[in-house]
Amino acid sequence: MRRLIPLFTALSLLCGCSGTGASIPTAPAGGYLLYFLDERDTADSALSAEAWTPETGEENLAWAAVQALLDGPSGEGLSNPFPQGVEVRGLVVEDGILHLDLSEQYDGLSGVSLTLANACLTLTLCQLEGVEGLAITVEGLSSENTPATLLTPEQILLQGGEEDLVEMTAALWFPRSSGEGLGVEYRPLYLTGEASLSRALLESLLAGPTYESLSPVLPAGTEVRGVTVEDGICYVDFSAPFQEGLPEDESTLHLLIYSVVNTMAGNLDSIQAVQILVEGQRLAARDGLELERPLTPDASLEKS
Amino acid sequence: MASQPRRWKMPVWHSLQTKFLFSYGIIILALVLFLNTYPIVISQDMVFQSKKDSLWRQADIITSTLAGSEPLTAEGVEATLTKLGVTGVDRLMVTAPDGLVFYDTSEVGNARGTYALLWEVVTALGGEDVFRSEYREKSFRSRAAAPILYRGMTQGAVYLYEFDEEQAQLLQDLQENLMRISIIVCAVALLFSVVLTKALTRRVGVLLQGIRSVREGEYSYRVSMPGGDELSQLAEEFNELTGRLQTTDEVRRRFVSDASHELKTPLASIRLLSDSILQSEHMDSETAREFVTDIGDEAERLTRITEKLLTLTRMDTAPPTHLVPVDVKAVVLRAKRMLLPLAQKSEVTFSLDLTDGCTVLATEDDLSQIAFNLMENAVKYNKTGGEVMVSLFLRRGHTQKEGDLVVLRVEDTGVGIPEADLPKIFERFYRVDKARSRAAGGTGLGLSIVRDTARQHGGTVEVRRRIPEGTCFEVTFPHWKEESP
Repeated sequence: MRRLIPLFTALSLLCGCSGTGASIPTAPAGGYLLYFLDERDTADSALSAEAWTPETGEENLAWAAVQALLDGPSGEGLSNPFPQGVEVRGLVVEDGILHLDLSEQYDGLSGVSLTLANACLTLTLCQLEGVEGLAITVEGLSSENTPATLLTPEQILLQGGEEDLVEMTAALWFPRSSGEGLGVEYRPLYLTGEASLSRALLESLLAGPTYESLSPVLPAGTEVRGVTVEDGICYVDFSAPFQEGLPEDESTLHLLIYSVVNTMAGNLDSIQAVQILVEGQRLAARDGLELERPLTPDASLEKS
Repeated sequence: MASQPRRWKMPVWHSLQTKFLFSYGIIILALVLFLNTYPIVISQDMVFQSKKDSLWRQADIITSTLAGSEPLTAEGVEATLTKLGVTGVDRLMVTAPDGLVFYDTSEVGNARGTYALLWEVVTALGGEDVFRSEYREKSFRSRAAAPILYRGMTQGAVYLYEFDEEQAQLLQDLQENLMRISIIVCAVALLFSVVLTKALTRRVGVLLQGIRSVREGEYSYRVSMPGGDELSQLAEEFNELTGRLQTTDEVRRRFVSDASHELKTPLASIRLLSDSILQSEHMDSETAREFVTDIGDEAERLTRITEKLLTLTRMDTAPPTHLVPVDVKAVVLRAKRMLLPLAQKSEVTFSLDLTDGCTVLATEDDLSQIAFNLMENAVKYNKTGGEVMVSLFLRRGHTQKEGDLVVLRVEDTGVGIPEADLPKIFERFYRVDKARSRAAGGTGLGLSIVRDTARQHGGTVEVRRRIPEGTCFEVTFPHWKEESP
């Protein structure tokens, strides 16, 4: 049994290739976006872009794009991240990677300025077909400032994106309908950075499973009064109906408790153990379960 | 016929009520608008300020904890911050000096390992503390970033994000409450202004109605308007005006009816006499002569009456012109001379006590008329062998302002006037003893003329019983002196 890690799929908003938010314009038909520094105080991101259409019949699009970038922006509110006099020494596209060799002036950049210049190049050139990554060298060499590691658009975050809706697949543990052990349901959740994943997981558990092979777990009428994570321990506070609805049977109780524990710990790296509370109070130990202490997930209860 | 007053249909927007409501409403609206915007803006700013303080404080703690001689590593940052236990922020990100994210608390869309090229982060890496907050969609979203500095070197940046719905909810509640209050205030204000202005215009309407009624001739109409304000005063004045109108109207009617009655009597006599003459077949010339003489007498009476009526109406309409200083003594003497024949008939004697220098600014005719009328009455209503006493003298005025007064006193030893009739004798056609008056050829107008004439020249007339018998009339005029203007 593997512990499954939730998959994060960022929606298009985070990907630089297709244009971001309101501050980045959309690419024109048959054209591309050239990325430069955003000089406006009201911008969300440090970068913005302007539209660029290559000349018809242009064969070496990549070359033209780089030249256009190095020439600097023509619009208002943008500025050139590249130092004076940078020239292209060489440009080769191989296996989806564009190897770009620049002149020594490029070495003048460091720290976040370098990151910004690299980002402009990456975001611009990865729009071209066949280019998935960028590798930059200066005068044929990779220096400490410009490592030859691959630069891809996925590495670049232009906005905090806390408001953006992100689809996440969560793993939810429910008892099997057959009565034997726990099963896992993978359910997509749509959350923004402002929502609490922990709470969302518990709400999903309360809602019950959609798979037929699984059965609902938590007692009817239960509500989540609060959930906090501290020092790796997740404190889940249920309302009174949880205690009243606890099953008598030992194995059923086991399954109930561990469906909660496994779900919380299984989706969040920050959680190693789960402490269950009812109305702010700890539960008494029962049937070999140390309910008054935080419990670590038990993978053995998973049965297929 | 007098032109009809403009009776136009007043358009609604001209009405007082609309004007009141409009100006009142504008003020209330402006106030309400202010109430709904200013407090909200101020509250928002206060929240922004408090969030800035709180986030920067947090940032300070974190940056000072992380700053150190060793460059930051992802594991180091994680260890330090887990120990620090940051609460109160919804997201905390720590980046390297080149923007690479070491640490991100975000459960959703964790940016660890990417380059965070946010405006806040890049600006902080440039050395500036930044804070931005917006109130949008019922929530406050605040972002703050600060550089991690050690001995002037930037070791990285800290980025904080806070999402607050509670404060936003408070602001929302405030806004809603203000809106509710505003609506209630507006409604109440509207209600009040409608009620008040309606009351106002209704009262004006009542007055208008009153005026229309009175104009149609209903002089007895009175308007009742309780309350102590200007409109009530207006109503009172209106009532007095109508009262005056009514009195004047009554007086006029009475005058006309009295006049026609007076005129009817001699005319009836004339008719009777002439009929008698015409009807009797064989009347001797002696009787006929008698009858005709009587007709002549009655005609003369008619003339006298009409003349006196004319005098009265003339006095009513035209003010006197060409006033001259007149010596009253001369006037009295002349009147006495004219009345001597009449006095001799009933053996009435005159005794005069006249002072010189009693000049009055008036017309000779008017003063003669007054003197003559009074003295004639004194003779006519005297007993046989009685006396008429006329005195003329100056009297000191009562106050400093009042000049000297000229007093003409006419007394008789006649029957006198009963107390009850004393106030009414100056009224036109009023006679105490109708039978005797007619026999004496009286018209009932004499004293009216005396009073009106005296009034016209600034004088007054008084009457009282004379002890032991008779009546005393006193006419007072302002004394006219050469030097006084």
